[in-house]
Amino acid sequence: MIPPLETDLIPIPGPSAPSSGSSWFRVSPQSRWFEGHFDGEPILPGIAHLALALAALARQSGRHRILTALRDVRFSRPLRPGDEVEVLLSEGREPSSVRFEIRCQGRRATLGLLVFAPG
Amino acid sequence: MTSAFPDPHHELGVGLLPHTGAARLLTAIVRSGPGFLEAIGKVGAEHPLASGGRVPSFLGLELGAQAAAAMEALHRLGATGESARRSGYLVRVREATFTVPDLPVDTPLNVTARLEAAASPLAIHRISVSLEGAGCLTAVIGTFSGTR
Repeated sequence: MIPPLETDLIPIPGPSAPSSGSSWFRVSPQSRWFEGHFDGEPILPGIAHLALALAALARQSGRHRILTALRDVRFSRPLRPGDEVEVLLSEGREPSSVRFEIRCQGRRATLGLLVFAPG
Repeated sequence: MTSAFPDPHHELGVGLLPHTGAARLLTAIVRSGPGFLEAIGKVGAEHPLASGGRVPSFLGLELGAQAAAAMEALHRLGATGESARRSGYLVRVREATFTVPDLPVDTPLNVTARLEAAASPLAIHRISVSLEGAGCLTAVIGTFSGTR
């Protein structure tokens, strides 16, 4: 199942020399993610960071994979309406895993390991 | 449940969450005690991740985080009488295992949160989400209560 994310997390072109394994998104200020999270202080829920990483992976690989586990995910910076983010993906050390990092304004927002069902 | 906690068999703890509207996934607290809370949660079909009546099972992490936040809110209420809503943030998923790929929308899900360690404003909770007795996910999460 690929969630209908692109009205909330909008793919955008990266800088002139995008790095390999990198995708860029803008967090729509009108995103439904901000409804009630939180009133007067809108921030993207942590699970939306995971959705962002999975959306980037789906765009790069062209296929949907079944997430079976997460390891050591750290949310270090909130994402707010209108933020532009870069999602960096690389092969993880575990089998069928992908390491992801989300960066915003040059700073790390989220880091972690996605583990998928084999195949 | 102990006398330090208000009667959890109502929606008070849920009402103490800062989440509103579609973002509030917990609907009721089943029982709670020091360091433990069991709740019912439901994801609405209007959720941003909903597609075809299902949501990815990692959304259960938010259910668990809200259960942990409700437990902390009830604890504050019981210990100090503080009933103000306080923002809470998911800051870490140490590990999570998903035994199903997705969850149904508009369906009651059982959610538990158990406090493993705390050094305010940080806390570590072990959470689980199940559907009709079948486990859907387990995780160990870190939360931050307050302003970041």
